[in-house]
Amino acid sequence: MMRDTPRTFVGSVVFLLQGPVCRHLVEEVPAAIRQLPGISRCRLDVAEATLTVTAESPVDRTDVVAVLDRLGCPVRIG
Amino acid sequence: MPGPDRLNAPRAAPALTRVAIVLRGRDHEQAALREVLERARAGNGAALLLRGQPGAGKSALLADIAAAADDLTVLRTKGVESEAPLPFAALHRLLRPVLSHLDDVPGPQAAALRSAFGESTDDVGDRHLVFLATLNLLSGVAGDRPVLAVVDDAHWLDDASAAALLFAARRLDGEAVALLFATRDDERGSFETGDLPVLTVAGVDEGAAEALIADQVEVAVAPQVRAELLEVTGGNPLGLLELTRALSAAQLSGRDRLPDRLPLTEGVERAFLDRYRRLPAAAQALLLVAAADDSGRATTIARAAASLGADDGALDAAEESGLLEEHDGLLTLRHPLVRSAIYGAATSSRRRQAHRALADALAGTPEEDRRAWHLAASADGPDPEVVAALDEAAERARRRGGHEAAAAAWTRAAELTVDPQARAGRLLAAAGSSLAAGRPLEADRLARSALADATDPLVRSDLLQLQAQVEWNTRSGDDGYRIVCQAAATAAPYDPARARVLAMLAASLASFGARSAAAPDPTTIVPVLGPDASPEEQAADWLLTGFSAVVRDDWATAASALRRAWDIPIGPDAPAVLHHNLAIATMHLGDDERAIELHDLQLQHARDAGAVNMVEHALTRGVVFRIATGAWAEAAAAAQEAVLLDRNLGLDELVTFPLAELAVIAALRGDPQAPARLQELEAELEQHPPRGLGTPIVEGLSHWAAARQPDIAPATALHHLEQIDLPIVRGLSAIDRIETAAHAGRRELAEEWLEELGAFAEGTDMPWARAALHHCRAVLGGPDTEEEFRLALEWHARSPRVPARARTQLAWGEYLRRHRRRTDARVPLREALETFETLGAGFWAERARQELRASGETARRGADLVANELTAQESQVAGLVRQGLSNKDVAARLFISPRTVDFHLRNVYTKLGITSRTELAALTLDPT
Repeated sequence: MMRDTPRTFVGSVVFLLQGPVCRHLVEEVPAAIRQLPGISRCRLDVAEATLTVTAESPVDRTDVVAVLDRLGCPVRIG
Repeated sequence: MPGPDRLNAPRAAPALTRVAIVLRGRDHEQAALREVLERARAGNGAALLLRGQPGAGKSALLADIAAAADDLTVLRTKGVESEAPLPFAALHRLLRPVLSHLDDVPGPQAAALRSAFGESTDDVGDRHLVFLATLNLLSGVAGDRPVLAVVDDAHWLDDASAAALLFAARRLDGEAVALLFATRDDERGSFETGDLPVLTVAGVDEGAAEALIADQVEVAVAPQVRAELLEVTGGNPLGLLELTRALSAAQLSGRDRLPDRLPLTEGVERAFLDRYRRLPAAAQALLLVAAADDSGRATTIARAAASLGADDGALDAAEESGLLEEHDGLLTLRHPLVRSAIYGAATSSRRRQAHRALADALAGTPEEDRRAWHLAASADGPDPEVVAALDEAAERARRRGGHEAAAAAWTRAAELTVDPQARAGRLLAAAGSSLAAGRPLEADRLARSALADATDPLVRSDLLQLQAQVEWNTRSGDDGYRIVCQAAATAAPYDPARARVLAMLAASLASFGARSAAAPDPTTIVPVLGPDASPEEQAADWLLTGFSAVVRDDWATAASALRRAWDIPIGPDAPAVLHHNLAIATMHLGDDERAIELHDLQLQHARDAGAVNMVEHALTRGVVFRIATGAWAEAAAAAQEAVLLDRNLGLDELVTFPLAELAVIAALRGDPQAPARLQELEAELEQHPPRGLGTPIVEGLSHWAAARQPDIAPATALHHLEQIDLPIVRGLSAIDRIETAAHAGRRELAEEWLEELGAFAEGTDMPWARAALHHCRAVLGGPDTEEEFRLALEWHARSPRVPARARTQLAWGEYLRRHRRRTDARVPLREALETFETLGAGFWAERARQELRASGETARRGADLVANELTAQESQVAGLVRQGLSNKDVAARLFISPRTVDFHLRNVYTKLGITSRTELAALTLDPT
C-alpha cells in the first residue's frame, strides 16, 4: 500500500542493506533491534549486507526500518 | 451520510481557476508539450517525462495540454500509491475507453490484455503480450485519430502498469501517439524512466511568483515577506499559494514575525495539516479515510467514514476547508501532499482503524483486492482471515500477469502467518513471482527469509533450487551449481525422484562448465535407481549419468547414457526441466537431427503458449545445429528473428547469443558482411557481457567467428581458436581448429586437438566426428592420406553436416589436382562447388571454382544471387507473408504491431518493384 501503511510481521524477514556496512554495526544494529518488543533473533551479515530479523510476536516493519535509518544503515530492499 | 444526490449536486469547479493561476510563467513548458503533440499529429509520436517537485504544477500543465488536444483522442490515468498491489489498475483506467479497438490487436495479445484487466480468468501467460497489446492498441486507436495519453503521478503507478507504459513509451516512432508522464523527483518507486526525454518543471520566475502571491491575498505584501516566500518556495507554485495563504494579514504586511522555516514539502504539508487540525473530529475522520483509501470512490469513503462517525456535516466541513474536492462522483484530496500530511500525522492505531473501516465498506463488492489490502493494513498481528484474503489476491494477480503484486500479496500473507511451514510456502510463492517479474535480487531475499524458518526439507529444497536459478542466471554458474547440489541433497532422503531430477540438473550445469569444490559429485547424491522406477525417473537417471560422463570426457559412457535417455518415451506432462535437458543434451554429442527435432517441438509449444522467453531459447539453440548442418538460410532467419525479438522486447541481456550465431554464419560463408557482423557482436558484448551459464557458448562462438574473418593471419586465427573452451563449440569448429594450428606451424597443437577429437569420435561413434577426424588426418599429411580422405567421405555420407563434407571434397579435389589426377579431381570439386553455392558460401565457392579451372574444367560462373536490399525486419516480414500469413498473424509472430508489418511490407513492395502479396509469393528470393 503506502510507504507508511502499518505492516506488522511475525517470523523471519531479511533486509538487504545499502552496503558496505561498517564493522562496528555488527554489534550495534542487532542490539538495538532486539530492544524492540517481539524480536526474538537478529543477525547482521556484513559481507552480504543482509539483516535477518525474527519476530516471535508481531513487530511493525517501520519500527525496524526506523532503527536502521537512525543508525545510518538504511535498507536497500526489504 | 451523503446520498447520491448530495454527491452529484453541481458545484463550482475551483480546480479550473487554480489551473489558470498556476500556469503563470510556464510558456517554455507549454511550448515543449505542444511540440510533442505536434509530433503525434504528424504521425511520429514520442514520450515526454515531466519531472519536478510536488506542487511544481505538473498536473496543471498536463490538464492544460489535454485541453489543447481536442482534435486528438485523449486518454488519462494516474498512479495511486495505495494501488501499488493492484496489477494493471492504472493501465486499465487509461485504456478502458478504447478497449473496443482490441479487435485490431493480434489475438493472443488481445486475450492477454483482457486477462490482465481481469475481464477473463485465463492466465495471461507471458507478460510481454500485455505490453505489446498496450502498444498495439494505442497504435490501432491512433489509426483513426492521433492519441494523447497522459499519466500523472507516474511514480506511484503499480509496477505492472509502469512496465507496460514504459515499454510502449520507448516504441512510439512512427505512431501517432504522444505519451506524457509526470513524476515527482523525490519519489522514484520502481518507475525506471532511464532513457526517456525529460522536461524539468522547476520553480517559476520572480515576476510570475509575485503575480501568484498577489492572486492569493488582497492586502499589500511587504517586500521582505515576498522575498522570504520566494526563497523558501524556490518559485514552487503550490508552495507560494499555500504558504501565502497560511500567513495572517499581520505577517503578510511584515508587522508580525514569520513562522519558522521548513523545507518546502514539509512546509506545505504543515500548512495543510494546520488546516486539517482546525476541523471537527468527524471531518478529520472522513479526511483520514479518504487519505487511506486514495481511490476517490465517494460511496466507499462515505460508507467507511460513516462507520467512524462522519456525517453530511463532516463532508461539508472537509470540502469547505479546501482539502477535499468532489467532482464526477469522486472525492479527491486537494493534492497528494494533503494525503501524505494527514496520513503521516495519524497514529498507527488510527490508520488501522481507517483501513478496517474501508475493508468493511468494501465487503461484498467486486473490489476484493482492495479489500484484502485494507484488511492487511488493519491487521495488528497474524490473522487467518486476512491471510486467506491475501492468498486469493495473490493468485488473482499471478493470473493477470501482475507478478510484482502477487509477490507483494504472498509476502504480506507470510508476514501474518504463524505456522513456519505455511509461512515458508507463501514466501516461496512470493519468490517465484519476483523471479517472474525479473527481480532476482528480491527473489533471493525472499528465499533467504523463508530459509531462516523453514524446516520441511522439500520446501527447503524448492527454495534452494530457486536461489540456485537466480545465481546461474544472473551471477555465477558455479555458485548456482553448488546450490542445486545442496537442493538435491536436501530432498534426497524424502523424495528421491525429485532429488534425482535436481542432481541431473546439477550435472547438466557442470556439463556446461560449472564447477565448485564445495559441491559433491551429483551422481553420489541419490541412491541407485530401483527396478520399478517410472520412465521419467529412468530418463532423469540416464541424463545424470550422461552429463556426469561429459564432465569427465568419458564420451563412451556419455553417448550410451544419453542415447538411453532419449529412447525412453516421456509424456508431454513430464517436468519441463526434464524435457528441457533432454533437448540440450543433444548439444554434447552434436546429434543435429535429434536436436533440431526437439528444439523445433519446443519452439512450437512456446509459440502456442506465447512464451516469449522460450521462443527465444528454442530459436537460438536450434540455430546452433543448423549452423552445423548447413541450413544456414534457416539458421540466419531464426537468429535474426531472435535478435529482433530481443530488441523489440528489450531483452538486451540475451541478444549476444543470436548475434554471435549470425557472426559465425557470415564468417563461415565468407560473406563480405562478416567483419561488420563481428563488429556488431563485439560492440554488444561490450555493452551486455554475457552472464552466468550463457557465457561459454557465446564466447566460444564469438572466437570462432573472429578466427574465420577474411584475410586473417593464421597466428591470429589460432589465438582465437585456442580460447574456445566449451566442448560443444570445440566440436563444431574442430576442422577449423586443427587446420589452422597446422597452417600456423603449430603441429604439436594440431596433434593434441586431433587426439581430443579422436577420443570423442571413438567414444561417441558420431559420424560427423569420425569424418572430421579422418579429414584432419588427411590434411595433416601422412602415408595414408588417400585412405583417410576415402574414410572421411564415407563417414560424411552418414552425417548431416553438409558444409564439412564439402570442405573434405574440396581438400580431396585439391590433393588429386596437385598429384596431377586432374580428371579425378573434378568430381569432388564439382560436388564441393555445388554445395558451397547452395550454402551461399561465396568465398568457398570461389576457391572450388579456382581449383576446377586449375584442373582444366571451365567452371561455369556462379549465378549471382540477386542482392535483395531488404532490411532484416523486411526480410522477416516478407518471408512470413510468403508463407501465407496475414499481417495480423505476422505481427503476432514477430511481436510487433500490425501497422509496423504494413509499413515494412510496403517497403518490400517498393524495393522489389511489386504491388501484391501474390507477386511476393511468386518471387524467387535470396534465402537470406
